[in-house]
Amino acid sequence: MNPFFNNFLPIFIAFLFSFLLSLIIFGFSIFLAFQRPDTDKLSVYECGFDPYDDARNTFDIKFYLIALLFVIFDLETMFVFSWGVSLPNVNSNGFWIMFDFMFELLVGYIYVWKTGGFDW
Amino acid sequence: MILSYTFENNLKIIIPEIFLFSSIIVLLFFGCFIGLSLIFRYPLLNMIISKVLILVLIFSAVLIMNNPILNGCCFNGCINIDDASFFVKLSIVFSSIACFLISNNYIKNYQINNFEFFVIVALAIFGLNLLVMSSDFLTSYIVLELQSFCFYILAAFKRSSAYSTEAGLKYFLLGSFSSTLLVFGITLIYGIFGTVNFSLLHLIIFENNNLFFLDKLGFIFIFVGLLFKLAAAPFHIWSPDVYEGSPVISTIFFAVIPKISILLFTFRVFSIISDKTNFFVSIFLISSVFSVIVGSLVTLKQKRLKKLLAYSSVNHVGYLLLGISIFSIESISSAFFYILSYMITSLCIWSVVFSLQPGRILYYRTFNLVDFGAILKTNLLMASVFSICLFSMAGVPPLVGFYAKLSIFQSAVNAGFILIACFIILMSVVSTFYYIRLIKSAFFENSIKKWFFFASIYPSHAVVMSITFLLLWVLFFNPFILDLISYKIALSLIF
Repeated sequence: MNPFFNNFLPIFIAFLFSFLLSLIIFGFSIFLAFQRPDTDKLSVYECGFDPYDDARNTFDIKFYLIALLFVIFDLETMFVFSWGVSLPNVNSNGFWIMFDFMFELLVGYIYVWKTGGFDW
Repeated sequence: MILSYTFENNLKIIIPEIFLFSSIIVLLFFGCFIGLSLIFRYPLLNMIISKVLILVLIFSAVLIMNNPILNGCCFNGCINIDDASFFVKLSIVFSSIACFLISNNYIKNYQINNFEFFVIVALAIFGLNLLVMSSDFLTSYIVLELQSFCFYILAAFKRSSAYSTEAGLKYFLLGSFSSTLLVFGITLIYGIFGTVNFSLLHLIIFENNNLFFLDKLGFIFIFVGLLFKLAAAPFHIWSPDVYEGSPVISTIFFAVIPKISILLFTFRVFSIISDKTNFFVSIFLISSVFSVIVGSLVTLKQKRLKKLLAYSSVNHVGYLLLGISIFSIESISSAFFYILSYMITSLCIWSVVFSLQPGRILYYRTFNLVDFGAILKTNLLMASVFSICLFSMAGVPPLVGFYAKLSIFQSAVNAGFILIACFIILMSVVSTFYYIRLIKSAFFENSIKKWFFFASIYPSHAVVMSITFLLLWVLFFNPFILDLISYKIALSLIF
């Protein structure tokens, strides 16, 4: 086998394993659970409004705000993870830059908190 | 041990930006904790924040001027300072101080009460300052996005107005589309050459014999994205709508400030391929001729002041693109001379426009050209200042606009673009018409049925108006300062 693909073998195995595991879990949930469907359960899940309705109505943006904030902190996790892996290779400059990034993220967090972005 | 000393100068180079950014953060905290607190009864902080920001900008100008390092790069070649970045940063800071002075009273009269407004403007200025210094595609893309996001928010700032939200959405969609083109070009360049650093790219391209198809494609995408941002002619559609829809106070900020730094960035990208430009010159020439045609002919039909100024800025971008496409030292310096004089003139015009706020009217109001008939009766001095500014925009001799246009045409003729120079001169005659028509409607038309009273001129407006008006005359009779500045910028841009 090509040594290039050899490196990706564990990832492939993990991919297969996760696929199989999710299949098993979904299958058991079909066979073992009590099924009692009604209209609310079967309808499409949407953030606080009816998806098959007039598009020009006003709707609540609370869910979207939460989703946007989630994206920011998700990205933060991505940055921090790669920073933590490469920490032995960066000098003190690279070490403190992440603290700067964290601080600026904290500023945004405090701003959102004070202006009421988290108020439900 | 050596590494810890290698990055010693990094922070020294960007100390003005660090200062600007940390003061923005302090102002944001100030707005959060004071402006939104029940104990202080929700005070309105916009006036205070704008005054503090003027002070901050003055301090950062002092920091820029006293920076001990004049040339050098830091952060692994991501940021590079030279004479060009020095002078352009100073011009951005000073023009934004003037914009703050002009827009000071508008927020009081029109009740823009969110304290975020000037903080966002300051963030945009921070982004523009960094864009001027960046010498790396990745840094410059991120910084370009920073300033664009700030301007999208500014365009949609008047949330209750349908025009403003429409303008913000339009600006956001088209701007993000152009950013997509830009980043696609950058990925192509990175995929082919393996680096995004400007000087490394220049070395690689200098060593190669000719550019291949994909290299050209990558640079075309980058240039198209930049022409979008500059609002040059085939990509200018967003600019008049955005100018018209957004509130005047935001329009002034994206009419005056960002052009110069995006122009400098375009020059930096163009100087990467400076010795193999035959193919790219044609793109810029076509765009330049289109911009001049559109800017001259479409403007004739405009009836609103802001749309007229937007189309006239498209026209001026055409001249700047002519300066890019020639790419000699003479043409670069004349392009920077042009944009600096354009900034001065447009600051003067906008200060007149802001002084025309009708007294105690609080609804959203667009400027029609017919309204200028009332200036002559209410304030003769301001009417004459306005008309002389328009003459400078049109390029009439004893004013700085004439010298700017002359130097552009001179460099075009010297480089052998005689036919295009003649064509653009002819189109500039057409563009003179609508400037003079404004003057005609101010001085010679008595068609106003309904009289309205303008509030008396504010001192801060008067300061900006008088300084820029004086510069219009002084820089014609003594253009050496501006000439030297633009020549130094041009020298540092040629590799």
